[in-house]
Amino acid sequence: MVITIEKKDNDILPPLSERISLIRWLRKNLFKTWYDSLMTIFGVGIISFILKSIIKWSSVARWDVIVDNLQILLVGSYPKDQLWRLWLCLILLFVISGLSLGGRLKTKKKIFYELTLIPVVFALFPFSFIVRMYFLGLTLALLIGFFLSRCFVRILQRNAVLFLFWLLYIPFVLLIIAGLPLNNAFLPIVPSHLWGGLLLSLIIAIISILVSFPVGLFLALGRRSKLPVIRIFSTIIIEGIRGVPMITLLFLGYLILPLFLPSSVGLSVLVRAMAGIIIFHGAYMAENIRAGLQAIPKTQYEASYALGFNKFLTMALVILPQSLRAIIPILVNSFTGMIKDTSLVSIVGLLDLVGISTAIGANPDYFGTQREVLLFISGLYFILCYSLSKASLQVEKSLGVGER
Amino acid sequence: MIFALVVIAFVGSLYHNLVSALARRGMMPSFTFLRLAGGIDIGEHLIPFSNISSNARALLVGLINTLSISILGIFFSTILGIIVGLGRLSKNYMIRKFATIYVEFIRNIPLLVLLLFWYRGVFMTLPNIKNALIFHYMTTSDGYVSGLFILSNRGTSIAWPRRTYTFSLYLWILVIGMVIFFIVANLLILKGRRTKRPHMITLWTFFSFLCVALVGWLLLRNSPFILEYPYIKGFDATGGLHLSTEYVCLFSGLIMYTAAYIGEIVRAGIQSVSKGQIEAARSLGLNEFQTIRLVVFPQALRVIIPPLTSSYLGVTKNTSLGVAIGYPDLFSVTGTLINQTGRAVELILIVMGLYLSFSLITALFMNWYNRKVRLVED
Repeated sequence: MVITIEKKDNDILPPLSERISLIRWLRKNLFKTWYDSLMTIFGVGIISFILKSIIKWSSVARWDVIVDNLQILLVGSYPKDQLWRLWLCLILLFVISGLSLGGRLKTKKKIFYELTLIPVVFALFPFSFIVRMYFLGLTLALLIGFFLSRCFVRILQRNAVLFLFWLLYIPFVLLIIAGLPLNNAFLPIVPSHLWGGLLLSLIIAIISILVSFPVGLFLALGRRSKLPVIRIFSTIIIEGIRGVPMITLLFLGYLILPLFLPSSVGLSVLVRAMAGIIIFHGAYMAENIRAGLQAIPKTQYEASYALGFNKFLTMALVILPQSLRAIIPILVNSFTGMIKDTSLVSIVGLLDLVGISTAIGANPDYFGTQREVLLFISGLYFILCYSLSKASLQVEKSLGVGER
Repeated sequence: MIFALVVIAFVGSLYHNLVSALARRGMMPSFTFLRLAGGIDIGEHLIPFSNISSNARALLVGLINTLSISILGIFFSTILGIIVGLGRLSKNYMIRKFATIYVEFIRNIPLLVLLLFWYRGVFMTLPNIKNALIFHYMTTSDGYVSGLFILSNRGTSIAWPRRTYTFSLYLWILVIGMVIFFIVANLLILKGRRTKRPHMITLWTFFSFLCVALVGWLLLRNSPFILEYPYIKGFDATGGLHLSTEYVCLFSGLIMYTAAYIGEIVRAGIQSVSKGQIEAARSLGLNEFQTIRLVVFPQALRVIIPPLTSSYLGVTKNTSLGVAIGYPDLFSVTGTLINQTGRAVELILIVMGLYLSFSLITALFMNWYNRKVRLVED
C-alpha cells in the first residue's frame, strides 16, 4: 500500500507542460505502478458493478412511498390546519438569517446565494400551490431581513442585537410549535405525541444540544473543583455514564425516572427520553469542555486575577471564551453525534424519523418499501450532519482557530 | 458545605420517592427474582438454555452473545479500518476517493439507520430457503442441494471445518509445536544476547510452529478436520456453520460503521508522522514496506491507541442496538426480562454495571498496551 503524507505547496505551480494533460494525470494518479494499475482495474470493476445494480434497482424502486408519505416523514401527525405554524418558524429563521447576513455579505456571499436559491429550486418541484408559495416566501423573508439590516445599520448590525434574536428564536419557535397554554383559537396546543418525523428529531436534537451544554459545563467545572466531594461526585457521574450505552440511559429515563419523582408529576415520553439523551451527552460534553479548559495556560488565570477579576468573571470572560474556541471542532463532532443519537428514541416508541419509517413499513400498502424509506431518511440525516460539519469549518475560519 | 447539604437533601428526597413508588407497586428492591425461572425463549444461545432456566441464566446468555459479537466485531473492524485508513492515504486517486466517500457517508448517518437498512432492506429481502442464494452450487450424494455459502432469509450457512477422530491426536502434535516454539524463542534470545544483534524472533518462532503443524497434518492418515458443506434439508439449512440473520446483520453493520471511524483514526495517526522521518528512512536504504513497518507504524501507533480505545469501547456499547433488529444481546434480554418480571430498577442497575465493567476492562487493557508503545523519554 502506498502512503502519501499531505504537503501544502500551493504557491509553487508545476511547469506548464505538466499542468493540463489527461494522460499524464491518469498515469500519475491511477497507473503509476503495476499494482496501482491492478487496483484501479479491480476498483473500476467493483464500482461499475455497484453503480449498475443501484441504477437497476432505482428504476424499479417504489419511490411513490416517499411522495405519498412526505408529510408524515417530515412532521409526523402534526395537524394539517396548523402547518402554517411550522412555515412561520422557517420564515422567521430566514428573516433572522437575512438580518445576520446583512452586515457580512463580503465574507458570507456563498451562504447568502445558497439560502436565496435553495427555496426557489424547491418551489420548482411539483408540490401543491400553497407549498410553492411558502417556499418563495422563504426567499422573500431572507431578502426582507437583508434589506432591513441594510436600512437600520445602527441597531440591527450590532452583534449583541443579533445574538439576542438568535437566543430568543428557539424558545419562541418552541412556543409556536407547542401552542399557548391558554384556551385560545389562535395557537391551540398541539400535544407532543402528535409531533413526529424530521420535526421531532430536530426538536430533540436542538433541545438536547442546548441543555446538555450547561450540564456538561457544570460537570466539567465540578471535576476541576478543589472540593473533594464535588470533584469525586462529578468524576463518578461522568465516568459512569460514559461507560454505558446510551440506550440504557434512555430506558433509565423512560422506566425509572418517573419512579424518582413525586407521583403527582407526570412526564411525557418525549421529556423522559430527552432526559436520558441530555444526561448521556452532558457527560461527553463535560469531557470535551474539560479538554478545552486544560488547554488554557495558568498565566491566563493569574493575569485575570491580577486585573482584579473575581473567580466567576475570570471563568466567564477570560477562560471559557478561549477554551470554547479551542474545542469548536470537537463540539461540532459531538453535536453531529447527538443528531445521530436522536434516532434511538424510536426504541422507546417515539415517532421520530426512524420510528415513522418503521410505522410506514407496517402499513400493508407499502409492504417491501423499507429500502426506499430508509435511504430517504439516511439522506436527511446525512444532509443535516454533513452541513453541520461543513458549517463548523466556516466558524473555525472566522474565529481564527489555531491562528491566534 | 451548603452544596453538600443540598445534594444530600436532593438525593434523599429522590430515594424517598423511589421507595414509596416501589412500595405502592408492591415491589421492594430485591434480587431474588434472578433465581426464578423466566419462561422466556432466546433464539440464540451459546450455552444450554430453555424456558425453564433461571432469569440469571438468561442474562448470562445475553452477556455471552454481547461478548461474542463485540470481540469478533473489534477484531474485524480493526482490519477493515486499517484498510480504509490506508485507502484514504493511497496515491491512487480512485481508491482514495472511494475510501473518502465511504467514510463520509457512514460517519454522517446513525448506526441504527444503517442496521435497520441492512436488516429490513437487505437481509429480509433475501429469497426464502427454497430459492436460496447458493455459492458454488452442488448436490450431496443423497440428493440434497449444497454449497459453500447458503444465503436465505432464514440465515446464512457457511462451509466450516469439522473435527474427525484424529483431532485429539493432532492436538498433541500442536502441543509439541508449542514446545518447539518456546525452545526456538529462547535459543534466539540467547543467541541475540551473545552476538548483540537482534534476530527476527517472531518470524522464526511462528515459522517453526507452522512447520510442525504442517508436517503433523501430512503425517496423519486422516486429516484432523474436514470441510463440512451446509445442505438444504426440509425448511432449513443443516451442517456447516449456521449464523442467524440477526447475527450476520448486527455483525456486518457494526463492522461497517466502526471501520469508518477506525479508518479516520489510522489516517490521522499516519499523517502525524512527519515527512522527514520517511525521507530519513528511505535515505538509510529501507524500502517502502520496511519504512512503513519499522518507522511509520510504530510512531503512528502512539497517536492511534488512545482514540482506538474509545472506538473499541464504542463497539461493545453499540452491540446494544441489537435490540432494534431482534438480536438477543445483553440489553435485549434485559428488556424482555423487564417486561416479564417488572423489575426495571434492579435489571437496569445490573445491566449498567455489566456494561461499565466491560468498559473498565477494555480501558485497563488498552492503557496497559498504550504504556508499552508510548514514547520512552530518558
